[in-house]
Amino acid sequence: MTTRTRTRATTGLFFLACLGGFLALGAGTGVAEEAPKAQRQTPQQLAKTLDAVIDAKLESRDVRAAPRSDDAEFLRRLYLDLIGTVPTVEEVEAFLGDRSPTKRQKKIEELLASDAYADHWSVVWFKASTGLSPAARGVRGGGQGARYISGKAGEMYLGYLSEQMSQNTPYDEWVHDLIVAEGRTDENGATGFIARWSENTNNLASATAKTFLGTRIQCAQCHDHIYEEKWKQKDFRGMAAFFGNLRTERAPEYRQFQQLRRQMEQERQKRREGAKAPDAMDGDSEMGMDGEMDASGSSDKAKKDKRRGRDAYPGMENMSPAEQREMLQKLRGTANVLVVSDQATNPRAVEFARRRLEQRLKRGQGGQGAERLKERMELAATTPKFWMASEAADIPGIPRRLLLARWITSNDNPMFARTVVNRYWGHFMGAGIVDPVDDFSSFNEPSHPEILDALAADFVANGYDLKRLIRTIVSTETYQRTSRWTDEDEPEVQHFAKAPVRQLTTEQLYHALVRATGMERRLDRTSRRNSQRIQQAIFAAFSFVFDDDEGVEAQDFEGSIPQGLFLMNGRLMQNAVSAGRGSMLSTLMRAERKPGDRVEYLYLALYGRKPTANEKSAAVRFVSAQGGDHQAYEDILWAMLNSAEFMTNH
Amino acid sequence: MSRRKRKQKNPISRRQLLGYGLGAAAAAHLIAPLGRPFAGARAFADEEAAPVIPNGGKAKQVVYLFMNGGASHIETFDPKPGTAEGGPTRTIATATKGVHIASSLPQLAKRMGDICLVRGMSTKEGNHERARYLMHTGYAPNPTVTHPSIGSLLSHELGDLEAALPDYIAINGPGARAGFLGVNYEPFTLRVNAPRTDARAQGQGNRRRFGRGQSRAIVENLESPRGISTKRRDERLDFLAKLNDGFSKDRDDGAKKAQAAMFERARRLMDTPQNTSFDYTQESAETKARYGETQFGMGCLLARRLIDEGVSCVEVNMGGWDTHDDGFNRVTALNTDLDRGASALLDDLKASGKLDETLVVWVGDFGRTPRIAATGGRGHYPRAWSMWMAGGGIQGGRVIGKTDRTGAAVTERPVSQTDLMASIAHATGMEPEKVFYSNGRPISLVDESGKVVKELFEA
Repeated sequence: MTTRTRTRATTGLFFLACLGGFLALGAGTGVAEEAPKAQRQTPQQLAKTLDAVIDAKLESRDVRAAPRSDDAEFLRRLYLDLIGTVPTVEEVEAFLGDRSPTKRQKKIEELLASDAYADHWSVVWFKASTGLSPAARGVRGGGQGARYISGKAGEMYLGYLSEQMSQNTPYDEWVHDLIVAEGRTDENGATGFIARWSENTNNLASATAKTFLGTRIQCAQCHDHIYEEKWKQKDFRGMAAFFGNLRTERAPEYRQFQQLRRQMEQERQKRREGAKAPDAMDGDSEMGMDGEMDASGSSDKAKKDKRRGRDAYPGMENMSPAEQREMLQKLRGTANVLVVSDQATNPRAVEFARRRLEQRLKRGQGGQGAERLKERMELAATTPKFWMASEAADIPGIPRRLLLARWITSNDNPMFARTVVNRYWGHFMGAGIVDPVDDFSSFNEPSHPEILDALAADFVANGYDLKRLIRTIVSTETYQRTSRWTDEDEPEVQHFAKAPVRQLTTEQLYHALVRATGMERRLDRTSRRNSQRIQQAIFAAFSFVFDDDEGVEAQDFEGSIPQGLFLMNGRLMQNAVSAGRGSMLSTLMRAERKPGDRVEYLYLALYGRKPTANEKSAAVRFVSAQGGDHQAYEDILWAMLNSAEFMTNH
Repeated sequence: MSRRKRKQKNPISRRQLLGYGLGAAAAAHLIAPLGRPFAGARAFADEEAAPVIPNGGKAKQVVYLFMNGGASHIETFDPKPGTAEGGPTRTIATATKGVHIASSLPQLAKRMGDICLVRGMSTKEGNHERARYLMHTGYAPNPTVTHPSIGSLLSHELGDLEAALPDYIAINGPGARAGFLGVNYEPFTLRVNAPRTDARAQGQGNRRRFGRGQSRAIVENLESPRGISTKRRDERLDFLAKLNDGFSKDRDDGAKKAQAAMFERARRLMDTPQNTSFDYTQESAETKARYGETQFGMGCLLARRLIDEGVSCVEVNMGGWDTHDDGFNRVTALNTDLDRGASALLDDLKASGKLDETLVVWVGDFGRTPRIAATGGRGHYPRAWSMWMAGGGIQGGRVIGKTDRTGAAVTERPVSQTDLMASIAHATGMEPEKVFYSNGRPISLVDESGKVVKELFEA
């Protein structure tokens, strides 16, 4: 765990001075002024205020809002949004049978307190902060830096996020943690965010601004912004400079891994050709993070290694091939582990980097290593400056990342709270008040600025409490509307006149599928480890075809050919709909004799509701036309699993 | 084999208009309604002065041969004999007078008359993932935009969504994806599982090798599972459509429509007789031998079959080029596969007359460092390297650009990735200035820094 060095009292005045330009972006009233009032209201009271804003705007547009959702519709949506899966048949029946007028509130509390809540929201934050789906880790590339969040590092990061969700750690605290985190990625999960983006400082600065300030500053990375006249390239450099003395290195085992691999290859070659082995252990030119790694010629490299106390790993020469393989396998697990730290920026370091760069260029070693050195040198020499602030922010002796973390999470930073309340609103409502949720700019006006103000003020006043934020949003009538729409013109999503219809994410689809088809129970029965293994295999199969690229939640419905083939012919789907021994269908067919009852069960399991009379008779007709046997039920289950009602959150 | 009807999306390009002698103002007037607000002033200012480059839009299809890992330019198309940096690589004369390439490429040497070699490639990305993205999209990776790969662009601009076969097929790929163009333009992946004769050269055992007989399916999930007849499949789909109609009656029908389209495309692919073109194993033993029964050779053979079917872009990925050690032996082995596969592809395209309308591009991540590492290989080197193009309006028998004595720097006619993309756009008749919007941000088809390499096209 990182040490939390933060003292909020010291931040106040200093940061206020820096916030000048940024306030303009935040728009609306100051957060601080509203705080006392906000503190007194309950989430339900605030929800009413928000509804009033939405309704007033709808009225002015002459749009009539959709009515309240029925209980079944509400329940399924709440499960998917809050815990990322669908309710079980038993849960649906219990909820529909509950006569209590406060049952929706009770359900909200129940789900917020569940383990599934933490699991689901850690995935949500993993995706939002890394641009990658945890399901996709190790499945396919995912672009630059993705490997540093694969394997153990990814697990640790996900675990860290899950812990914060489960404890309901104040949002400002854990975001602060993420930005200042130090240590090994396989030991301190909080380093995950930095590690994922660390390969390129500019991307790290962009990702930080995008994730936590809802601002896409990367447009200013290469040039002054086209529309936003105030967004200058030099300001971008100023933000990036906060990471100018960040240091990310491969864990020491990586060097050992490389050496062993080289050694094994050389021995193999020697055996193959009977030729003499190359005399030097050099040529490590895998382009690692560290510009120094692949720098020099062989002889002075060995000398240098010695000087740094990096001895060759002695015992390794005398291992048997089997031992070597075992060792390699072990080391491979840590090959992508990074160590995150800060290095003092002092003139000497800058000078050192400059000299190394010169040497490299003289030796004809341009390329990536030189670029990196240059980049590091330039950043170290750049004075960090808060985005859109008028003054430079460097305080000699204080780590730059700490300055940045304090500024970002400051009560006085209007963008920090606004960004997260907007992100959460978007999560539940299908669109942010500012949409896309990470694109605050003067060219992307909020649809309901009052809502952003009110939610942000309440959020800050109540200690950055994410569960309270959720409680507020899902308590609104706006959230609880039906997704049905009978009027002629579909309203825009950002009018929030009805509930949106959204494609399930990869994770939601997986969980909904294994639950609705009874596979979940089968997975539970086998040993825990076995069940994890199967889950991962299913996950891999799913995310390969379904994964939304770069973690961007698909706004439109889309389906690719491989996806279609997978759903029609893939083995996982065959297993899911199979009526074989131990399956949900075979259990169902033993338990229920009447086709109508079987159909009703399927509706509850897949759609979380009872079928209408028409639906029931149509389904029964279909089943009997298909022969009424096991195969017939496989057919109807297949169709229901692939239907829009199952595949969407509505 | 039936040819597919192609939809011509941009019947007249701006360049053609200018070529017809219309004034810029008149042309602008004609172009404007096509909806490219950004294509305006800049492009015109350039083009009024610049003479029209010939042979644009001749290529209707593209084969993208991508060398994963970054092929050493010094061991392939830009050898440096007689220098310490050049290593033991020997050279041979080619069909183009005065041009020598590595002696392990004898077949391609004979076909240099059809090939235009670019020896002055110069890029800035030395990391595999970044370089691969760069050399597929023409853009450096950016955390918020995912640019479409060249194949996705071609499929968007030249292809036809109604066609039975997907329009962008990546064999043992893809190198990059459709990005903001969306799922309809994603590469469709085929796997060729032929053995790799260069398996030994792959070294390190970190890549999967497929032996003869342990093949995986060329296309995953193309066959109905056992027990699911076509009739039963269609009955399932019909009932599904009924369920969706009910659900969408009073709801947003986006999901229904997208799903219907997805299943329709998948079903079409399952049912079309054209899908037999995936099965390259049907080819005669003689043909297979000509291509070389290797992963790359069979990839080229499959590419030719798909080009015959009218697919807009076929990408063939060849792995193993990241030769940090034992470079000479490994690249020589790789060259053997490359030489046979690419030569046979060029021969067959030429024999069927397709080469005139098919652009063949050979390119990879980057080149390799002139300095030879102690392990006998080379590091990553984007500063100076080689690629080539053939067919589709390209002038063969030509070398563009030059590197210095050791292959360390481009001394003549450097070509960037954006120049390359602009040239591909020119050859295929795509509008480099066409603007797409990703989350409201304008992004042109080719970055504005890209200039067509006119020497590729001018007689």
